[in-house]
Amino acid sequence: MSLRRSTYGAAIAALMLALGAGIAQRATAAPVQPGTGYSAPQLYNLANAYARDGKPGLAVLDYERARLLAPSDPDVQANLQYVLEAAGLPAVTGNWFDRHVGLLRSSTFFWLGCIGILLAGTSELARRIYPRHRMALRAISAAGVASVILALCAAAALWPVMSEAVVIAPTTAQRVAPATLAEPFGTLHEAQIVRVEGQRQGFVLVQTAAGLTGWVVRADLAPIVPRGS
Amino acid sequence: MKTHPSHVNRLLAALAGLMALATAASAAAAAVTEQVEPAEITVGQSAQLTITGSGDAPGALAPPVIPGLEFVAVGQSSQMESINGQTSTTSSIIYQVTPQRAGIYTIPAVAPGSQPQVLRVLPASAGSGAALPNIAGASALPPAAMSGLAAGATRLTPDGSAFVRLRLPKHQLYVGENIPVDIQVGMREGLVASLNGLPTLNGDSFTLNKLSTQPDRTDELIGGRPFTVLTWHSLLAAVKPGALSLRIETPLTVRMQARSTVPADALGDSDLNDFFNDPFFQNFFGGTTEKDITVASTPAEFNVLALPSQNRPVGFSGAVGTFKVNSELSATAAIVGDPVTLRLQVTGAGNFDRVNSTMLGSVDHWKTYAPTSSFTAADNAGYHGSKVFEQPLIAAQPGNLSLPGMAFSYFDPDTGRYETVRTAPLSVAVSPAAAGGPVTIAPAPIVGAASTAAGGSTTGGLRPDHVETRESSASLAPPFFRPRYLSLPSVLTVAFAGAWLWMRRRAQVSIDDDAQQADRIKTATLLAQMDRAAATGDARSFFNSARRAVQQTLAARWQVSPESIAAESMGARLGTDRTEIRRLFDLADEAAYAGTMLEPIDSQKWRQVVLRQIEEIAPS
Repeated sequence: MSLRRSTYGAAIAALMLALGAGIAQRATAAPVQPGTGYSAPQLYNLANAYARDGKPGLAVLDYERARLLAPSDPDVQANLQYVLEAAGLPAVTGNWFDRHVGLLRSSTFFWLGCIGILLAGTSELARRIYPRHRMALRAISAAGVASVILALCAAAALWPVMSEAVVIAPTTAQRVAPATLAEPFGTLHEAQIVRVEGQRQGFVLVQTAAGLTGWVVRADLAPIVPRGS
Repeated sequence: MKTHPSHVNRLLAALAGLMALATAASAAAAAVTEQVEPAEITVGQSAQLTITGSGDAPGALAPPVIPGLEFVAVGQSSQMESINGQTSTTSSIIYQVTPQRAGIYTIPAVAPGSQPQVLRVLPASAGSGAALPNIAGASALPPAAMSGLAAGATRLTPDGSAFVRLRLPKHQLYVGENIPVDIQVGMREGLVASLNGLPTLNGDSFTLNKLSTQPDRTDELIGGRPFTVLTWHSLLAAVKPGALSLRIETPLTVRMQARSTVPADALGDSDLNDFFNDPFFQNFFGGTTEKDITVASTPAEFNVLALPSQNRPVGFSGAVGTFKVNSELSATAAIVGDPVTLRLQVTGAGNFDRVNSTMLGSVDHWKTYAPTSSFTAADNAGYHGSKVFEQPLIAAQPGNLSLPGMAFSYFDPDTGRYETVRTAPLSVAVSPAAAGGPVTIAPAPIVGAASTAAGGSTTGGLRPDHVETRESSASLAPPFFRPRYLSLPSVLTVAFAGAWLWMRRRAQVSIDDDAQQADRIKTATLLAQMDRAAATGDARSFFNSARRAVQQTLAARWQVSPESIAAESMGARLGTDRTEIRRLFDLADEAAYAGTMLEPIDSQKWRQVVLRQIEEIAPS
């Protein structure tokens, strides 16, 4: 009986690993051709070029994009802060997660979470098959759950970036309604980072770091993570 | 009857007097004068054309159409005089005349008897003695639109309250070609309550550029009645070839009379008809209701041609129109590592939304980046304008480097051919970068920037470029938010949960199987004890074993302990047809307390009974 259970368990664990490996292979086998995708050094160099050319909006946009791919690169951080300061804008501070844990790539967190699921799942199955090793398997399961929680925290910390955009026009008016005739009540400056909350008829509803919400012409903004990217 | 001769003479004299008065009045009604003041103005100024006449004759006259002059009705007045008992009415209509270019304009006579007027328009910078071209107007059609497009047909609604009119430059075009179009909605004040939306296309064969919420507003006289005309300047394009028709529709709310209006010519006098059907007169007596209607233009017919497939250039992006290109560099000298901006400017007229360029791809000794573009319209509709593509370039090595010329292909609807224009190659003197030299950053044009000095440049601080690798990512979105990646943890979670549930269920089934097996072993043991008791004639042991065997079987079926099963509680659960079991339990009690001896025949009988009952009540 015990031998039969062990055989089942081993087969299931092998199936899980093969399933995970297959999906992972398909996920990472995206049709990326050399030179067509996003590269952190390329984005960083392009941002530098824009900064030297006096275009802080496009520079900050590409620094932010480079930061997504290489969050631990000190040059990206330094030049981003420098351009923001030169533009008279506050530096990017980030939350606790950004400062302490967010220096790893988002893909690293993602794979850590997947490995956590594999560890927790496999050890829970193994606990049913090998009850004598219950304590060791429970420890492995706890480590897997911790990895999953860490990955979920990373996802939660990265979620706001999906709706952030950078002002690329020299200045743009923040209006009370999505119409050119609507009364402007504020001005956004180039390189300012805002949160996008909605879109309508060529206008985007944005919220500034100060909490002001208003409509801005869509062409004056560029999303940090492009749509369909 | 006898008639007095003096009475006849007096009657004839009175008739003659009345005829003379009527003739004089008719002659007065026909007298129309026109005057333009001042007779000499400069471009940017306006003059006034006043048309004066008896009665309401001026109001029935339309201003002339003269290329380069725009007539806008700005006022209307009437004057009534009574001299020696004779009443006469004089009315005037005043047009503001605005020239669009310099010249000597001859404004023709608007009615028989009036004199042509001459308006001298000087250039803004010229003196009064400047030579000017003569421009004569001869048409009496309604004034042309400001864009200069040909006037379309004007078809009023049945109640004469509104119209929608199209002004188009031509009726033959190519698929994808943009043509400027003026959409005009005329509304008679007092009869139209509101405009309920922007004009829209009827049909899906054409596309219309987004209309402005602030159209041009002019006044126009049609049939002697003033209309407020709203004009939208836009671009029209056909999406498929063939003989196509187009109408423009506009939703309006019109005021209608609750009571019936006076039918045309019912009073036999157009003036009286106009008076009684005038909106003011009708509103004065009340009874108006509002009704939503849709006003449509007269259909415009088009012959739409497909773009030829022969000789289509490889780089053709769909641009249709007439364009010119030129290119320039932001600097003719650069330093290795410093960016220069290559600009490609495409100017002309056409569908600028399809004007695209990838600019330079891979160029030796240069690092190229993706270009950006911006469009600057030269007119309201965006038909004329200039599109500028900017591409950052970084020289990779010093020397006199050159950049190849760029090609731009478009289709010219006037010639019906594809055209390819090229820019000239550019050269840049690139000097080597100074080792450890400071990197300059140009000042950002930020309003209110505190730390950047206006007009100066900030030095230092910017860290150097990185070495580019071939490693790249298809997307900037973190894997957590990409469906392709999300499928992995989702499938793993579901698969592990399913496997865990399956294993748990399987373990439960295994436990149940083990318990049933144990029950069967116990029952078999009891049956063996019965056989041994029967062989020795031990009734007490025989019936006790028989009862325990039945209890064991019932306990497995009811999931209770065997000891809890008694003869009294079995009745309700087994029914009345199990009298043999109850008898067996009674015999077991008797044997236990009375010590009854067991005959061989009885032992065989009760063994069969026990086996049959176990067979019937055993759990499946």
